Amino acid sequence: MLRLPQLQVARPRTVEEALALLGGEGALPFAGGTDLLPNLKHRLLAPQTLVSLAGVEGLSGVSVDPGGALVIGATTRLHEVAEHPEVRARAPALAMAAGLVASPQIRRMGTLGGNVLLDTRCRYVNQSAFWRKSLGHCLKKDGAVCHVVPGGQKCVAAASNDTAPALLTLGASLTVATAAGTREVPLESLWKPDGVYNRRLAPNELVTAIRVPAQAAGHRGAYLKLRPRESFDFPLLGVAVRVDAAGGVVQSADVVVVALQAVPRRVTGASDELAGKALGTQELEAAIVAVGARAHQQCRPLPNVPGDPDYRREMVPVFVRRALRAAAG
Amino acid sequence: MRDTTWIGRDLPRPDAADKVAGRAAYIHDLSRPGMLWGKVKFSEHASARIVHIDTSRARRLPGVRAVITGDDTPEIRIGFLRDNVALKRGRVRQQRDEIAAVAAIDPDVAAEAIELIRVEYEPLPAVFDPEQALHPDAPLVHDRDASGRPVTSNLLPVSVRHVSGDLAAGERAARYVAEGEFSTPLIQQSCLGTAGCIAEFDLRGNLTLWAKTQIPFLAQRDFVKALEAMGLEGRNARVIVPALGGAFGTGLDTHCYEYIAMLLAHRTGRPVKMLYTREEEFAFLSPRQSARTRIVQGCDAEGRLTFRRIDVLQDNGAYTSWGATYPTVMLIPATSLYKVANVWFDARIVYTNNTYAQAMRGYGNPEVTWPIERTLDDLARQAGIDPLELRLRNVNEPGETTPMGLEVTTCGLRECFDFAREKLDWAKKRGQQRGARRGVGVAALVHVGGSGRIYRSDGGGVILKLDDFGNVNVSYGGVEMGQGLHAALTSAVAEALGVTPERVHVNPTDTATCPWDVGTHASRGAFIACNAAIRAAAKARTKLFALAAELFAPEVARNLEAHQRRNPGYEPPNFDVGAACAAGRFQLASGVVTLEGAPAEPWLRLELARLLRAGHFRGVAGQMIVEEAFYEPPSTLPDWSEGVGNMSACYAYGVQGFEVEVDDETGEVTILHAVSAHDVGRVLHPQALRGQVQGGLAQGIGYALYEEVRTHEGRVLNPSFTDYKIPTAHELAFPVDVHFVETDDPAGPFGAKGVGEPGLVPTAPALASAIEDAVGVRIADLPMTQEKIVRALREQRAPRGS
Repeated sequence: MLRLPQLQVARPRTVEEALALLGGEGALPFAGGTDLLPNLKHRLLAPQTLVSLAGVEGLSGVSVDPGGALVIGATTRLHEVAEHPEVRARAPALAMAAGLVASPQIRRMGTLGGNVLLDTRCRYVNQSAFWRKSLGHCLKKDGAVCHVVPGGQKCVAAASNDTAPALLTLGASLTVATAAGTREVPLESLWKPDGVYNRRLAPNELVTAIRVPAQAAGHRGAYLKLRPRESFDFPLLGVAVRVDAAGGVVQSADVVVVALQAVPRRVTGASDELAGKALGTQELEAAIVAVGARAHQQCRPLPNVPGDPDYRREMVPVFVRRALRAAAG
Repeated sequence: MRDTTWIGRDLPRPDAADKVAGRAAYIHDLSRPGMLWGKVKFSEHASARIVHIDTSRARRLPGVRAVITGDDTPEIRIGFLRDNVALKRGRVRQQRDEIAAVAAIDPDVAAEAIELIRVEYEPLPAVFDPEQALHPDAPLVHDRDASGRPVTSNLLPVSVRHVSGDLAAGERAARYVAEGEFSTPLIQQSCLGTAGCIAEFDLRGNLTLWAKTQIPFLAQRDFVKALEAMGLEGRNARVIVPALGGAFGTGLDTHCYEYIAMLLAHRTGRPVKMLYTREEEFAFLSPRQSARTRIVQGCDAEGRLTFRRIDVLQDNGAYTSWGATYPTVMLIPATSLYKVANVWFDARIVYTNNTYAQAMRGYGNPEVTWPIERTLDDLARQAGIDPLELRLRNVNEPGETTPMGLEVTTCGLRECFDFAREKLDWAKKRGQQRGARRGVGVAALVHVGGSGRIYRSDGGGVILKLDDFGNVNVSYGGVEMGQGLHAALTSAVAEALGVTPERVHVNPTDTATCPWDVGTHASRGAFIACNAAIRAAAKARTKLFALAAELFAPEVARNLEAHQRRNPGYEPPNFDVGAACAAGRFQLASGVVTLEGAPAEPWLRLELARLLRAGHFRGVAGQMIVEEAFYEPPSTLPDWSEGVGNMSACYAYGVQGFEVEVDDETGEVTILHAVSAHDVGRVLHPQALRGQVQGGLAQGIGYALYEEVRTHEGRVLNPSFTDYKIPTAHELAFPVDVHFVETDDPAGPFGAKGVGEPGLVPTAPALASAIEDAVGVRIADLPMTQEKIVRALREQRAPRGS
């Protein structure tokens, strides 16, 4: 197998110790490692120290606060998120998304925090160092050209995290520990459209929990994923939806798509189409089709991840419709 | 069929426990004292002149023991046409060309040293499309052949043609004609165990190579030639094969990395290990050949085939492996899958600057079965005949001699179709489930079942060495690579010799201890090994019974004495042991020697181990039982310019079928049910056989739906299992009805035929037929990805031009 670079692993016991270590030069947090280790082997990152979060107290587990919000520790395994009864009841889209990440083995290692903070992916960058060098490198790593968009000046590596669109539909936020104290970062403001590094987080900040607020009455949600096989794959397209339907009538809805560009993308106008429609009606079905059409209009996949971009675009309305039907059904 | 004790019995595989527990030693696990790690510097260009190689920084790196290039090592020519050299000099012709190599104290230092080697290139024109490579203005991949003669074309001097009957008459006789262009992709063999070797010299200059190979003895021959090139005339190359994590054709050639390990080991005087990473395996090891096929075939009004014409264009890549002989096997389905009298076949193989390709399971057969079976569906539709019925009207039968001259001794193809028809509920389902987007489809295969002669000897030998404890140590020169060869061989030795399977131990494959074998390919392992074992066992039994003629009577006399001591007053029955021994009426079964017609007295039997000890410890007449037999199958080496010859001792047939559901919005294909019926001659070892058939089926599903090594200008774009998709357990969670038709072939060991490859061969066309039945789309280019199905559905809804 490909070799890991030489590096040190630090094992803090507390968040404070972890933050102190992350403040040092060339330090990276290390949780499940399912994405980090391949990236290290590909020499996409060159840390001197990995700060293991395995022994840090209080970073794992699912709880519900008195206000009904889900608080999920950052190092909670994806498998646990997918299976947890409170997550399934309160945030069904998140449970579905966590349960569709990669494979069973990876879901038992990978963490929710790790998936939220997953690095962007591109067919031209998630390759061995030799491969990238022979191609002449690219914007994301060591180079000045983009092989996806000829002449492009901005890296378009794709956000490929299944849980991100689900959490966006749920209005989630991250609890971030810093040397100065703890702050809450709404996911809405976490990502920026730059494939090189798409998160607004400093290296010495540590996500300790993901907070999903209590949802409206009649909350429903779903996440569906396009992939070449039924297992193991990163999304070629991921669609999360929220449908709040108190009293059997849609009050509000949200659709977010991932694996298009560097950030997850919200499809605008979903609530406009769907609000006021009663579940189980032809009217709602027509509105669902209309949201699919809007999504098709708004989403333009790039040849950044494998899979024909025309096909991926054609699948946008299909998956939007199916996700909305799954949530509303 | 003869009654058997162990053949056909569901015994555990002898290698299973160690493999499951992680104790089997693969090349990855092996180490030698003082061993260094080798690593190769590969080309970053597909076609370029090497202007300069600067190795000075690599040489200075602490821990580096040698840095070599083509300029400071002897030229070692390799490959089927000897058009490849282990380390390139002056010129690269593909992205993965080997330019330099290092040996270092550990893999990290080796990798760092490789990074420090600087190569200056001058890019040269390149050609990546096999059709363009045939254009007169195309850049020549090689401007000279191996012997230095100038060449003027990228066409390989390897020609396989076949013309039989009267094609024009066949065309005139055809009422319906189907034609088309089809293609099969470059795919990875996807061995779970990546490539690697250890090379070690003794102080006399003899080489030992632990190699991941399917051809230990042809490899030995190649390595001895390389030793000569290195100035080591008269030295030996010993090849030892460790446990293999799959080979699937990758081991049919020797590889540059093996010769580079030899050069590094010779330079440093230390054992050198080379191990490919998964990424290296994908990018720098040869994948399966891609092929483009043009086919025309026709049938009369009753659906009987009247002619078939096939033209194949194969992309060889930059160098030539044994895979260039694919057309020799393509001829089998082209001429002999179903009865067809008038056949034309022509194959052209072309050099390009793509990665050079090599063999894989099926060896050309699936590439040609794909267009044959797909156009049969077309003929059936034109003729208004059910596609399964049309196939039955042309079904192969025993006693037939095909246009290629294949002599069909036994053939259970009709029974295979009958099974598939029943299990798929064909009459109710074919063409009846379009509304549910469900469909069924079948396809058949013919393949060599009694080895495939493409070398002047197609034989293999077995040595049986019996020891004082009644163990039977078996040495065979073929290779267990996960397929279950040792399981079949164990059952066959136990059966043929008359011992229990626990007493049979198959030795590791080693050219120093095993008799010659041409290699484990062409589904031949169990067929050849078991045939040789039967003959060796017969010799051993003759010797054992000769021993028994002298020693059985005195030994059982001692038994009787002991028996009488324990049972005072015991009177033996009236049976003349001496006379029976003199008549040689011995039996050996489950490790016990008895006399025919003797009463079942507990003392009147001799454990094999005691007979062997008695034979050993008899002073100057002491004797060992070690027997060897070499089996050469009754087949002929075809004349390839005519494409005629009975290349195998018998032929395997089979039918696979599927029921699928197709998502007509996403193109996703869900397999609901599979049927796999094979004429196997005789079941030797049920578990190993099921594994072979189902494994082939699974691999065929990958070929059909997912797999393709995508390249751009010779660079592999998906060199990892993240981006190169093979089916996982999840995609294979459907019921498979497996059925074995036992036709008891006269050439087969206990009647068995080889079945290593068939599971893969008809899978793609059977799936394609089911997909077409479900949603009406036809895809000519494998793999049938979701994208292609959706595109075809779109074109179906709005035909081009409308």
